[in-house]
Amino acid sequence: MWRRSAPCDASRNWDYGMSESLLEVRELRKTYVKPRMFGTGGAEVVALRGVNVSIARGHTLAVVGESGSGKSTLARCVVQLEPATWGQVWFAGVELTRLPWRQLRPFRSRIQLVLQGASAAINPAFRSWEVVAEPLQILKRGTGAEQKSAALECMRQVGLPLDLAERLPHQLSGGQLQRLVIARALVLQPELLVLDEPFTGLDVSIQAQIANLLLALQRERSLTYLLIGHGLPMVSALADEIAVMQGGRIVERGAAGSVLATPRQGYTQCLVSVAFGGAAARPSAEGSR
Amino acid sequence: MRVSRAIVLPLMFLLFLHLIVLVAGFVTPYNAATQFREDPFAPPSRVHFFDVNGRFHLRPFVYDWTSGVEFAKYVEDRNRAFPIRFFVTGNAYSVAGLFRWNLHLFGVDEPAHLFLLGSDGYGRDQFSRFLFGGQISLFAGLLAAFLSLSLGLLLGAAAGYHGGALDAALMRTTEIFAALPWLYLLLALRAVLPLGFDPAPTFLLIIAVIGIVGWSRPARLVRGIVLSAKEHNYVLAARGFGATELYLLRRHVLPQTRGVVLTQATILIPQYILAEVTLSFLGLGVAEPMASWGNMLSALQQYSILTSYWWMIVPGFLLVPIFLSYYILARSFESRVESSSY
Amino acid sequence: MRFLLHRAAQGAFVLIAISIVGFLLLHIAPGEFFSEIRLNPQIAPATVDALRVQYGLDRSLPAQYGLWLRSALRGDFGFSFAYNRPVSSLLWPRVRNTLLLNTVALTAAWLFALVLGAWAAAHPKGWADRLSAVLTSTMLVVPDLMFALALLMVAVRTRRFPAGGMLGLEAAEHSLWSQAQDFSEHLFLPVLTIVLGVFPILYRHVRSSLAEALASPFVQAARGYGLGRNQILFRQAFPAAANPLISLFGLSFGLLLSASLLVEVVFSWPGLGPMLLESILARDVYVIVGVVLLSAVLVIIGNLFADVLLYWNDPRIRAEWQ
Repeated sequence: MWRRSAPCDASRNWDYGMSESLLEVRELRKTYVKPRMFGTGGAEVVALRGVNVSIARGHTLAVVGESGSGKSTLARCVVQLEPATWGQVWFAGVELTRLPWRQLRPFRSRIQLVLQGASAAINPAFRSWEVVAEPLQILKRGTGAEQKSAALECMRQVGLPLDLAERLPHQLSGGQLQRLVIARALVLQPELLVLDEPFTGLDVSIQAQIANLLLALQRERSLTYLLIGHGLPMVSALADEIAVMQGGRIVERGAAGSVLATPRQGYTQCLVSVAFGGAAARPSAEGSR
Repeated sequence: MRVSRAIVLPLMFLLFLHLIVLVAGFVTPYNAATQFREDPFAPPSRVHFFDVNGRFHLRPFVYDWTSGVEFAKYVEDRNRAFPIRFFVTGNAYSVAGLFRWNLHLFGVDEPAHLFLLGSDGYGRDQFSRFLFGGQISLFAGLLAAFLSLSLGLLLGAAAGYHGGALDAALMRTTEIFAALPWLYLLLALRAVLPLGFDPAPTFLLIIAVIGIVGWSRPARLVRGIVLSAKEHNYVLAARGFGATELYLLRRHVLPQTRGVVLTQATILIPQYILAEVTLSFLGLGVAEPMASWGNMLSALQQYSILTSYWWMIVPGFLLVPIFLSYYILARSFESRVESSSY
Repeated sequence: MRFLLHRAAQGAFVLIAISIVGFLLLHIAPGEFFSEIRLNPQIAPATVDALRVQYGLDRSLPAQYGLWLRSALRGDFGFSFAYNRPVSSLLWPRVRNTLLLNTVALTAAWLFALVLGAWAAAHPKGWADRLSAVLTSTMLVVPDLMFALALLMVAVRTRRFPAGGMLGLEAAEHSLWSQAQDFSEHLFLPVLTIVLGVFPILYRHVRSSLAEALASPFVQAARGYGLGRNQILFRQAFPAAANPLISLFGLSFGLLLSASLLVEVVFSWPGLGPMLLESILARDVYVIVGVVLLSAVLVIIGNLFADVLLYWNDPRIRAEWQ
C-alpha cells in the first residue's frame, strides 16, 4: 500500500489555476491484480493510465465513458477509498494521497462519495433515517437525538417525505433510494460530492427529478460535483465541463457546450451521436488525435 | 418481530421442560441414587381413583407392589391403599448446590413407593432418574452447542474478514474435522480424557469434547456470510465515512450472521443431546450413580431386560418430543432466514 | 486425472494431519496401558520396563511417531496390547465387516431415497409426497439409538431375527446358500436401523434438488417443446440436480459410518465400532489410532469417489481442470 507522488512542479501551467480548483488529480495511475479462482496471482488490470482533471469550486465536472473505462476506479481513488498506484490527489490545496488513514478523517466529511447502485449501498437492516444518520454515528458527532434530527433534516432537503423515515430500504422505490444515498452523503455537509452513476437504473422521469435535485442542492449549498456516468443526456444538463474517459485515460476535455457541439475525438463523437441521435456533430476534418 | 405459533409452542415446551429439570429435586419423589433393593424392576405404579369397593376417591392412590418367590414378578397388594400426598418431606437434596432441602412435590408414605416410570435393577425410581438425568443431558447439549457456536462464530468471522493465511488455515482445519465421522471423532477425543472419576469435571470435559466435534460447520457458514457481507457496497460506503474495522464488523457484518447462528443452534442442540446420550450409553459419559439418559438406556443392552421390562425404554422415547420441538424451530428459522436473506 | 491426483493429495495430507494429532493426543493422555499392568503384583517392574522398551515407549515422541509412520506405510499399524496381536491383523476383518454393513445400507438408503424422492418431486403435493413428508419427519425426530433398541427388542421378542452378531454359531458347517441366508438374516436389522436413520436426510435433499431442477426455466422450456413423459424430463432434470446430490453422497459416507458405529455396538456386529469402544476402555493406544485413521480413510475414499462422479457429471468442472 505504498503511494508514489510525481514531483510537484509549481511551474506547470494548469488550465484552471491551482488557487481556484477545489479538486485536482494529477497523473493518477491505478493497477490492480484480479485474483484467480485457483492458485495465487492473477491477471494485472490497468484501470487508470495517468488521469489529470481538476474542478473549480462550485462547478460540476462530468466524466463519461463506457463501462470498464476506469470511471469507478477514478471515483474511489479520488475519495481515497483505494490507494492509487501513482499520482496525486489534491483537495483544497492539501495532498490527500500523502496522508495516512488517520489524518484523512477530517477530510472525510468534506468529500463524499455516492456509490453506484443505491440499493446495494444501503444496509437492508437499517431504517431509512439510520442510513442517513450513519456517517454522524461513525464520526461520533452529536448525541443520538441530534443525529436523528440532522438525518431527518437532510431527508427533507432531498425531498423525501418524513413518513418514510422509519421504513426499511426494501419498502422504498429506486428513486427514493437514490435520494436516500444523496441525503446520507449530505449529512456531513461536504464541499465536494463524487457521484458514481447516479442516474443508472432509474426511470427517465426519476432521472430528471434527481438531476433537478442535484442542481438545487448545488445552488443552496455551493457544492462541487464530480459526476461519473455513461449517459450523456443527463450529465450534459448538469455539467460545466465534460471529460471523456477511454481505456483509463482522458481523451477529451472541455466546457460542456463545446464538447457536445464539436467533439474532436472519434470516441466522443460516437458517444454524442448515440446520445443525441444522428443529427449531432460529424467527424471533423482534423481527424482524431 | 412477529412470532408465529410454530415458534412459540415448541419454545414454551422446551422452556417448561428445562425449568422442571432444573428443579428436579423438588419435582421428583426420590433422588437419583435412592435404591429400594426390595423392589427391583418394579413396573410403573398403577394410579387408582376407584378402590376395591368401587368408591371414587378424589385423591389418587397406589397399592404397594409385593413380590412372590419369583424375581421381579409383582402383584398389587390391595389390602392397603397409599394416597398420593403433595408437598411431602422426603430425601434431602441440594438446591443449586447452595443448601439442602427435603420438600418434594408429591410422594407416598412408606412402605409403598411411587414408581411413575417403574424402577430399575437397583430399585431406583426411573421417573426421578429421568428428570435428574435431564439435567445432565439437556444442559450438556445446551452448553456444548454454546461452545461450538462461539468457536465457530469467532473463528469463522476472523477467517472470513481477514482472509489470507488465517482463512487458509481455517479451511484446512475444517477439512480435517470433516474427514472423520462425527461419532468416531467424538469417541477418539473422549479417549484422550481420563476415564472419569469425579462427575463434575468429567461433565465439563465431555461438554468440551462434544463442542469441539461440531465447530467446523458453523465456522464455515459464518465465514461464508462474512466473506460476502464485507464486499457489500454499504460496507464500502461506511468505510468511506471513516469507519473502523471494528465498527464495520459490529454494525454491518456480524448482525448478518444472526440467522445462521440461530438456525445452527436449533440443529446442533439436539445433536449434542444425542451425543451425550450416546456417550453415556456406551459407558463413556458421566459415571454411575449419576443419572443420564444414556446410562439409563445402556442397561437395555441386555436382552433379558430389553424384553421383560418394557418401561426401561420409555425414557428414550421421551427424547422424541424434545427433538420434535427443536426440529420445528429449525424449520421455521430456516424459512425465515431464507425469506430475509440479503 | 490431475483433478483426481489433486484430491488424493489433499486426502493424504489430511490423513497425515489426523495421524499426527491423534498420536499426540493419545500420548499426552493420562494413563497408559502399562500403568495398569504395573499395578499387577505378579509382574516384576523390570518386565514391564523391558516391555516398554520393546514397544518403543521409552523413546521421544517424534521418534515414536517416526517409527510408527514408517511401519504404517508398510501396512503395520502397531501392536495391540490388549489383544497381544498386531493391529493390522486385528483390524482388517473388522473393516471388512463394517464395509459390508455400510455398503449394503448405503445402497439401500440411496435407492429408496432416489426412487421415492424422484416420485415425490414429480408429483408434488400428491399423496405420496405428503405421506413421505410426514414419515420422514417422524424418522428424523426419533434418534438412531431408539430405532436400534426398538428393533432389537422386536428381534428378541419375535425370535424372527437373530438378536445380534454376524453369523450363526454353526454357520460354517452349512451350505453356501444357507450361509448366505443366515448372513442376510443377521444383516437385515442392522441395515434397517441405519437406513431408518439416514434415509430421511437423503430423501429430503433428493426431493428438494429435483423439485428445484424441475421448476427451472430450461426444464420448462423442454416441456414447452413437448418433450414427453417425466422419464425424458429426468434426462434433463437429474443431471442438473446431480451436483448437490453427489456432494451429499460424499458426505453420506461419514454419516453412515457414525450411524453404523452405534448399530454395530447394539447389534454386536463385529465391525470397527465395537473395536474402538473396547480399545478406548482398555487404553489400547495403537488400536485407537488405527481405527480412527481407517474411518478417515473410508470417508476420504468415499469423497474421492464422489469427486470422480462430480467430475464426470459436470462439464464445468472438467473445463476448469483442463
